[in-house]
Amino acid sequence: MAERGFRAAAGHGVCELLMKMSRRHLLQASAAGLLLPRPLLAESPGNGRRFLFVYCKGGWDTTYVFSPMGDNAEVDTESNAQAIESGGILHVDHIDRPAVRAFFSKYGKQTCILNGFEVRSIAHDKAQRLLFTGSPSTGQDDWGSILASQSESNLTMPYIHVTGPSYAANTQESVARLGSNGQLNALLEFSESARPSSDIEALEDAFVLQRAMDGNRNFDARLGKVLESLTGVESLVGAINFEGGDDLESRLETVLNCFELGVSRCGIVQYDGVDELGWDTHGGNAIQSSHYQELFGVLTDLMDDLKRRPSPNGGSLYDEVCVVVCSEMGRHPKLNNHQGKHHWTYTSAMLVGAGVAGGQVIGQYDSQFFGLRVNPWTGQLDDRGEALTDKHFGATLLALGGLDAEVYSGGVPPIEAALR
Amino acid sequence: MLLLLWACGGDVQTEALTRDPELIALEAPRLLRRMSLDLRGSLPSLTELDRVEADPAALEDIWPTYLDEQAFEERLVELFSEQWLTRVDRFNVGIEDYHLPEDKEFEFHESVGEEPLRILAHIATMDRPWTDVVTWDGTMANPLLASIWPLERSDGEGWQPARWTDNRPAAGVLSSNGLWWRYYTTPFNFNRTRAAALTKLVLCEDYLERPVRLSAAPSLLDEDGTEESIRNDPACQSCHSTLDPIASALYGFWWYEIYDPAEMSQYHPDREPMGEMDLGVRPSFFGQPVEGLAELGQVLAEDPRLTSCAVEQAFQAFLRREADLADFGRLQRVQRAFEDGKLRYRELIRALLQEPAYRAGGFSEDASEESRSREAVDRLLSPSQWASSLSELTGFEWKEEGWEQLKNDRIGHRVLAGGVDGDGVDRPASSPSMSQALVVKRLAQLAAEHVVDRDLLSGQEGGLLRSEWWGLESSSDRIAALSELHWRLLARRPSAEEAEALHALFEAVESHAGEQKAWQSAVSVLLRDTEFVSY
Repeated sequence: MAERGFRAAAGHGVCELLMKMSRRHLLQASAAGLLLPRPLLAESPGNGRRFLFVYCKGGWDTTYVFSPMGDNAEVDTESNAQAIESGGILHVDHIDRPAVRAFFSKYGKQTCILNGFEVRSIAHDKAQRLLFTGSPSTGQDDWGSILASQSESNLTMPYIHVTGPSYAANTQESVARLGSNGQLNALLEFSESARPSSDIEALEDAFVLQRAMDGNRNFDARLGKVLESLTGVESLVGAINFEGGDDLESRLETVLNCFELGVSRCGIVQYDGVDELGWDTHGGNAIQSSHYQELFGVLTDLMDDLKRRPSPNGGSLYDEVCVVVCSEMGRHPKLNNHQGKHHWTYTSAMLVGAGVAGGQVIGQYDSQFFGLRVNPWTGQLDDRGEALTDKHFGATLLALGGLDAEVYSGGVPPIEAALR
Repeated sequence: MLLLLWACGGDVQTEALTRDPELIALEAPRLLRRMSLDLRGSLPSLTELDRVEADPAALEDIWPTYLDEQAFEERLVELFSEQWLTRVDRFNVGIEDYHLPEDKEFEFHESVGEEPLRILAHIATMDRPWTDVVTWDGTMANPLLASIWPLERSDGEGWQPARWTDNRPAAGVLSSNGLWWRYYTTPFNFNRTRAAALTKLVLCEDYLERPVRLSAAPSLLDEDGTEESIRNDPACQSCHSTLDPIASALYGFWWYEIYDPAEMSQYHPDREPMGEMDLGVRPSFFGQPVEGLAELGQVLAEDPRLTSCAVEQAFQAFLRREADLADFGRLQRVQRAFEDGKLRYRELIRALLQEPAYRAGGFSEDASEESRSREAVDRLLSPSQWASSLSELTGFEWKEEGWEQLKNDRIGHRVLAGGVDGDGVDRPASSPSMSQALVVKRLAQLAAEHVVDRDLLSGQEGGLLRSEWWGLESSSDRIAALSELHWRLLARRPSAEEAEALHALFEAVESHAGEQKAWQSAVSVLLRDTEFVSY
């Protein structure tokens, strides 16, 4: 909030100029001496930033947490809920969800909520693809695999995929899948008689790698890199349990272990709600309350854990991990005949941690539950601003990761106001 | 856009029927290897490789014979599964609902998912016109499906043609249970998901590619407003005007309970009129009224997009990439051959495999960056190709608790190995990845152990490894044996240096752990080789 105020105070003319510039130009300008509230390019924290995606598949009802709509008679909300501010975040509070209040009280200042961005599909698979890639078509990489593949470090497992979607069209070498039931772990710990002794296996590995390196095809080079990564991963057996686990906490722990060892930049875990009952509540929408209660309890523990864990770069993981919590769609503002809610193309997301300009909510829903336009620079509602979409969401993540976001988002700018 | 252009045909210019100057063809033995893997999921025999090495033109005599093998039908099932995505690990009903034993669980899921794919493959290999895929009066069934569904199945093992006994209309794959179990609908969706799936799979027309923009007027905050929007808002009507009438034709598969096996096994002709009640529109296909599913199949068969979609999907399956505008001429050539061949799928494949883009193994010096990034000249072996080729070569089949490990993701490695799971992963991998390399490593170790035991220790003749290779003492004999193995597996003779390196590995392992392990290592490293895992 302080940063936006500073920016506004810098002068209306400067603000107009800033609005016209792309992020790249902006950063160049900052190096030239223009005053900006964010860290300068020389620090490049984005390049070292890690990303943990927590994906709530099915379409969450944002009126339970992110978008207080209690004063809107057109939108069906739960009874006894009220809007409160915790940690600078205006959110929905309910006696059944103390974990939500606890989270924002403790980590609200590190949290930015993006409300009312549009994902232009009401089909789960397309909306999911749109959310993660900005496109309904195959052939586009998801934000996580782009970030992972563009990492400056030579990572062993750039993008660790525990559960959830993965759209790596051109960045497949970056994605390390664990398998839905810890299959990767079983393969790493393989103890069948077919497996040779470690000495012989090392000889075989070296032979196969040399053959790939000796090849002159593009494929050979790619395979060589992959084989080197595999050797790196195999050296981690014992240091990391790659089983993934059955619950959200275990799966998140696997990702954090990879972060702590410095082998991954991104990780994704899917959360399907309490007892995996799912977020797609066409009937019995009230279960969403339980899902949020559990989710936010885990998120508080996650942030606490990030503080405790050392970063391989010094400091703690808390200093370099950005947690991204999202869902591919929202839910219709009205209950149906089965006390459920159908799909809705406007949704919300939550960014927590490193690089995030916290303590704010950007965007809002109008009386018809559509997203309102936003000035991406200031984060303020603005009729002349941008109608936020999945591309803005993705561009923001890429900018957080130190990338020139507009290259990947087709010119759609990041929400600069969300960046610290 | 691409489909629209070339499906319309007409006066559009086509590429000259000459070799693409930017592409260099794969050498004949490697090309034969590619064709064998693509058409039957196994490697060419030593005899075939030797013949093509001596006379590259012999390639053109050999590969067409693959189209007549049973393995071609099996291979088509695998390729169709990558497009139709019906092979999932879970359906809304399971073995417990049919009182099947636990050891039938994998077979159950595989069978249900394969039913529609078997229809497609059967029509393709029986040289029926491709339009039969939406008009054929029958299905395919194995003994398991015949035991749980209302079917009369021809005698014989494995998959056989079958007829439904529940008054189901003749609409080919549109009348299959497997398709609609995979693409099911919910009470609030009124078959729209199915209609969208149908047009995407059969016509390559994807409604869901179009952005959905909700508008404020009329208000969507009540059911009346939503209904009014669907019927009158141009933005909604751009899809719903054609989507809903197709959905209306699918109500014979309407289930009151989507977890009830009795509901889901049967077709319900009495529910066909419900479409008009729920959706407010009578069945029609892009403005042409239809009286039910059979007639829907008939009009689909007349739609030129049916054949152009088949061509596009085959292109994607065999060239391992999506077609784009630059492929316009290629697609049109193949489509003409398909049409001239009376829509027999084999003719489509024959034409496709003669395209330079299919046969490419590299690029000329002046090839553009665009071509280099677009053409997949080195293709990654798919999990199904691994499974079938290693089964044929080594006799090894990777199974655990009855589940084929390269055909499932419940406990298996299909997606880790670069395959599709029919749900979250809808596109096969085109590049190696760490998890894929690990799967290959373990698979190679397992297959190598198996084949050494089978061919060298148990004395079985005619296998990958010659029995006389066991106990060879001279270096030259060993090098000759290893070189033949290299040739057989990679379709390329090793250089003297490469043969020496392989021999050095063999000797190093033998001195450490004995001859059996040495042979295992030799087989294992060749199965992991960059030229084995790609083709």
